Amino acid sequence: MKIKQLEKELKTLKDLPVDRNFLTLNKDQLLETIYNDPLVQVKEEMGRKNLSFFNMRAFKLKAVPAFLVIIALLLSTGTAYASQDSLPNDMLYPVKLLTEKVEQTLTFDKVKKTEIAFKHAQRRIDELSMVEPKEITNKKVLTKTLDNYENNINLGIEYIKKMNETETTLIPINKYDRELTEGRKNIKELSEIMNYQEINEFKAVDSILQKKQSEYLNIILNKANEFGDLIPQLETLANDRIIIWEEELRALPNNTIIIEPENINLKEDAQEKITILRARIQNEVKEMIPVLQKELTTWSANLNKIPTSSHLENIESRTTETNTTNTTNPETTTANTQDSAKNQATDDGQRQEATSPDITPEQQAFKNQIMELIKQGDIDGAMNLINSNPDVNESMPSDFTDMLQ
Amino acid sequence: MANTPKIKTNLLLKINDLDPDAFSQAYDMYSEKIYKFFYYRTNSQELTEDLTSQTFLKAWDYLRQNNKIDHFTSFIYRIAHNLLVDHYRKKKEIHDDELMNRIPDTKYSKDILNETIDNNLNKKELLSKLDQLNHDDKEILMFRYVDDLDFKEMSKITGKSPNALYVKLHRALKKLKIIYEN
Repeated sequence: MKIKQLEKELKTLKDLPVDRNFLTLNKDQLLETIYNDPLVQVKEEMGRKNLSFFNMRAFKLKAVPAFLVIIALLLSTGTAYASQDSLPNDMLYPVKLLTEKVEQTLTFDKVKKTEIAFKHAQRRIDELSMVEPKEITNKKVLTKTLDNYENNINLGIEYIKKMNETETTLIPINKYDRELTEGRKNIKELSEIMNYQEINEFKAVDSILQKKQSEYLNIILNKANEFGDLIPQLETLANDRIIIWEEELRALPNNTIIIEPENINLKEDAQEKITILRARIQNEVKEMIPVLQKELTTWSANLNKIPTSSHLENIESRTTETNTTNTTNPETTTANTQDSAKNQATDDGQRQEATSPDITPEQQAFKNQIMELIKQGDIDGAMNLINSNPDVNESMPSDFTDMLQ
Repeated sequence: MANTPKIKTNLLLKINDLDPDAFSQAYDMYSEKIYKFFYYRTNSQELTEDLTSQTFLKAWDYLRQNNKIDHFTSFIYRIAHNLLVDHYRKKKEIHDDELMNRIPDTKYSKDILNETIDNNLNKKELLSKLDQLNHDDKEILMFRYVDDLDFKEMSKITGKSPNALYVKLHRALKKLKIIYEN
C-alpha cells in the first residue's frame, strides 16, 4: 500500500457517526450552567444598566492597567457610592460587589487582604439579615450571596496560608476564629428565619464553614510550629472558644439528655470537659486546640440530637401513661424522660445496648475526686489516683476515659 | 486542512469576554470533533460523552478565571488530551488497587459506534493496525488525519516542535505501511 493511499484510508476514519442527540442535550446543559454563572449574570445586569462598556475582566483577580483606570473612574462616580448601602436583591448590588473586588485587588499586603476578605464575608451575612426573606424571590440572589460569603472566607484563609513569619505575627488569630464561629451561628439563625427550601443552602454553607474553621486552625498550628511563639494568641483563642461554649451551655436546660450513642447529660458532660481542657490549655495549648475543636464538633452534633418538642411530648405522654398505670409520681421532667425512654426501649426488647447503665456511687466518688484534683491543677495527682484504681477506672463510661487520655 | 473549524478573531474575543452565545458557537464548531477524538481513544460511547462534556465545562472554567485563549483549536484539544491522560491515570490507579476491575467492561463493546465500525471491515482492519503502533505514533496520525490538526496546532498540544512532528508523522506513516505489508 502506498503512503498516499494510506493517508486516504486514515482520513476515512473521520466519517464516524456521532450521537447528535447527545451533543444537543449536552449543549443545553452546558448553556444552562453558563447562563447561571454569577459572572455572566452580573455582566448581564451591568449591561442592562448601560454599563456594558465596563470590562468584565474587572471581576477577576488578576488586574490589568486598563482595568485599574476604569475602576478608578467607577469609584469616583456616584453609582459606586450609592451602591454601598445596597442589598443582595437591589439593582446596584453588583456594583457594590465590584467595588469590593477592586478594594481587594488594589490591596497588596496579605495581612490587609485577609482583613478585607473577612470584612466582606461579614458584610454578606449582615446584608442577608437585613433583607426580608419574602423579598428574596429569586433563589439565585441567595445562592450568589452565600457563594460570595464562602469565597471571601476561602480567600482570607488562602492569604493566611501564604503568609511569612512577620505577617503571621500580625494576624488577629482569635478575631478570625471568632468570626468563623459567629458566622456559623449567624448562618444557623438565618436558616431558621428563611424557613423554606433554601435551608439546604445554609446547611451546606455551615458544613463548609466547619471544615474551613478546622483548616484555619490547622494552618495556624502549623505556623506556630514553624515559626515558634504564637502561644499567647493560641491560648486566647482556646479560652475564648471555651467562653463561647459556656455561653451556649448556659442557654441549655439543666437536664438535657441525649440517648444516642449513650445516655449523656449534655450540660454535665460539657462542664467536665471544659474543666479538664481549661487545666491543660495552660501547659499544652497546641495539643489541646485540636482536641477542643473535636469536642466542639461533637458538641454541635449532639445539640442536633436533642429531641424536638414534638418528640418530647410523645415521650412525655408515654411516661404519663406508664405513671398512671403504676400510680407513681405523675410529674414529668426531662430527667424522667430519660427513664421513660429507657423503659420504653426495654419494654420493646430493643436498644438495650444503646443505653448504658447509670454510674455507681463508687464511680461517682472516684470521678468527683479526679475532677477536684484537675480543678486544682494537680494533673499528676489525678493521674496517680487513676493509676492506683485501675478497676474503677476501667468501668468508667468511655467518654470520661477518652477525655482523660 | 479544509475541514478544520476556525474560530475568527472577533468570535475569540467574545469567547474570552465570557460571551455565552460565542461559546455556544464554539461548541457547535468543535463538539463533533472532540467527540470523535475521545471515541477513537477510549472505544467507549459512554466515556466519550462524559469526557466531551467535561472538556467544554473545563474550557469555560478556564475562561472565567481570567485566562485568555490565543488559539481555540489547540486549546480545546489540549484540554481533551489532558482529560484523557487523567482518565487513564485514574483508571490505572483503580486497576492497581482492584485487580478484579481488569475484567473488560462488556457494555462498552456493545455500543452503536462499535457496531458501525465492526460492520466496516476496512476501518476495523485499519484501527487494529493503528493499535500495533506505539502510542505516540498512533496519536500523531490521529491528530493529523482524523482530527485535522495542522503542525502548529499539534505543536501547541504536544509541546514538540512542528519540524519534529513533521518527521515523526512520516515515520509513523512508514511504520503503518510496513505493518500493512506484513
